[in-house]
Amino acid sequence: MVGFSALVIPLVYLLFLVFLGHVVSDNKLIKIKNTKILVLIIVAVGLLVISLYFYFNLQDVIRYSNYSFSTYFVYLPSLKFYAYFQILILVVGFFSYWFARFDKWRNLLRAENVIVIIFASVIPLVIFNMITEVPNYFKDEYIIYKTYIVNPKKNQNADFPSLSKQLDFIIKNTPENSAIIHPTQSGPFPLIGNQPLIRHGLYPRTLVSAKFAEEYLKENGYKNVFIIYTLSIDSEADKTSIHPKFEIDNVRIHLLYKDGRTESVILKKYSPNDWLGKKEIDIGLIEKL
Amino acid sequence: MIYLILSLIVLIYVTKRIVNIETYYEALLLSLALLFGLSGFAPFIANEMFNISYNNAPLLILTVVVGVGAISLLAKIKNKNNLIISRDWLFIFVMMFSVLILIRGYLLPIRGWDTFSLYDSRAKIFTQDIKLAEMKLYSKYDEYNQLYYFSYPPMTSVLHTVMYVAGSNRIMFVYALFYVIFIGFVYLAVDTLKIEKKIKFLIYIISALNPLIFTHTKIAYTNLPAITFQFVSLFYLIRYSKTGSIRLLFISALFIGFANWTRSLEPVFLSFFAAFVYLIYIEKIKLIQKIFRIIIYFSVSMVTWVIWKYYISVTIGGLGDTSPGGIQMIGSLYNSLMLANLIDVVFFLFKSLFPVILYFILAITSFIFIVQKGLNKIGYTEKIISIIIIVTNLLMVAGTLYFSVTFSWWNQIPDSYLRSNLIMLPLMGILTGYIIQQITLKRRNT
Repeated sequence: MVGFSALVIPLVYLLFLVFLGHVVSDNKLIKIKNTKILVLIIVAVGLLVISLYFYFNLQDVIRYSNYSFSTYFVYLPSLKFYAYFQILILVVGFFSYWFARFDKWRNLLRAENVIVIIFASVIPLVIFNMITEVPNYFKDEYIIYKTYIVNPKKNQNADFPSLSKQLDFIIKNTPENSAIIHPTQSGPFPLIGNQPLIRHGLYPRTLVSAKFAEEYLKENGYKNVFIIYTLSIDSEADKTSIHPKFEIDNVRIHLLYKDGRTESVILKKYSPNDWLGKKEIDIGLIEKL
Repeated sequence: MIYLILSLIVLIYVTKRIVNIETYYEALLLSLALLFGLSGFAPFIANEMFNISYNNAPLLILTVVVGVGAISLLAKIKNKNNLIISRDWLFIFVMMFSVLILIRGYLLPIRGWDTFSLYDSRAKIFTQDIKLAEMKLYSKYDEYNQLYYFSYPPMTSVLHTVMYVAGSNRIMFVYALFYVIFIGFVYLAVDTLKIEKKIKFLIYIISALNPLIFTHTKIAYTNLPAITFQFVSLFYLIRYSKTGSIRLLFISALFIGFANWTRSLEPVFLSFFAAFVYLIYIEKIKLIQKIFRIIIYFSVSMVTWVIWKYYISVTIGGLGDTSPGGIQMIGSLYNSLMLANLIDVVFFLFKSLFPVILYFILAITSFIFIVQKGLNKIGYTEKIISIIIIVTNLLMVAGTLYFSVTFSWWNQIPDSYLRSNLIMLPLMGILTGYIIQQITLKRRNT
């Protein structure tokens, strides 16, 4: 498709220039008998490119992004660029014809007319741009409608579904006056480490960043304190991050598994090394007994 | 909720009586915007200064509205306009679209990262009768987000609180209403153009319905309320330029105040000041009247800004580099003019504004037309809009230059930069409309 368009579309530009020259020349230097056929070809190719863009854009939205490229080798951004040019050609062509037809050609180069032509070319481009977004919008609205409106669940956070599951678990297992020590906001823990973000769900519990854990525990002791156990595995960098990194004696750990199961275990000792490989656990709460 | 609805009815009655409203539709939109502005401002002040709980916010809003309404009715000016709007197809289109937006807004869940971490969080804490000043305690055990809750003025947070207290958690309905106000006022602005209906429709579409703005009905960010307030302010500034009525000036200033109470980071209000100063400069009134109007405009529009700055300085001392002093700013700007940095900045501006580059082409074409035509042949409205567009862009460029030498992350936020520039879209669209009107009117006359 790309190879084909590389041939056809420049050809149309050439035809367009011929057409312009034909319209412009008062003394008809360039004479072509069948102007109508020329115009027809230009308009047809223009409309074809524009509708092809809409078609492939729609395919991308309906199937998956990059569908057109992987299936038909149509690279959408360049097709969009071509479509832009086609719109410009149609607009400028129409105006040239109109000016020539009503013999206003001599006035054309007045600033006003140029501005009219610029407006008349840019406004359709803006609207074309907006229309190309429409399928995306409908898809997005449809997903929102299906997920959050038809069958809404309680406490559902539309933006962070995995986080809200974890927060629900924490809310269920901790009293409101408790303190919660969470990992530091960082690459491995972007969500559960972001204190303002998790406060939205966990308020009015006191939240403590990992950095201040020691300080907080020294001041307030372990009473009513829950430490979030969480694991982040970055398989590409082969790096595992765990929280908390320190050992704690005599603990009860509430666990939420990724399949939704929950469990409470009592251990003599929590040691980070024992907990490094437990991929099946979503999140845990460590409570010192 | 009943208190809020009562407040709205009172507001409609008052605005219809004392402001030069042209249609019932406009009265409704203006009252809604006023109600939102007041609801985001009054409960916060009452809570911080007089310890009035947010739980009484709806009653408080009604009291304020009735009180202010009663005082302003003393003015005894009657509106003589015929308030029925002409029901053309463009109006019906706007109405149907608004209804769709409202239904959708009622159903949507609350969304957006910042709203969970900031705006809605503050609202949830407000409902527990905790003051904003007390939230600085939360920074004690937070490693990265020091004084995070103070980074934006509390307009939308208080609005969420009022909604929660009034017994509704349909927060996105508020944003749907904001959008309805916005597209309503854009309609009113476009409707005054004397151009062909179809072109009017196109101008309306590119000004109001751009996806970049429409997206904000899905997330509870401050950008949509801010541009709504700014646009309402502009609408009444334009009408002031036509009638010279001091009430319209007051309303325009009030909405700049509300906009500053929503977002204080971008200095868009300065461009409104520039436009206002220009208007006052050319107006043919006595000097003493000019001074009086200047005082009214500046005091009303800056009151929220001053309150917020004062509040920040007494509660936490200051926000640091995102709100710099004048001298520091000039020093940094000077430093930012190194060539290597300039290239980065230009590239950043181009990258972040690329999605709206067509609008800039429209605006630049309009400016060329204005310059070519001669400034004295252009109407005041075009001049006001042009001043606002130009000054805002200059400020944005200056701000980017300042950021580029102050923060290392300055070029990571092109989306954020674009969001801050959204008010440009309706302004550039409507400016185009006015230029088309100039051209076609002249055609018809000759």
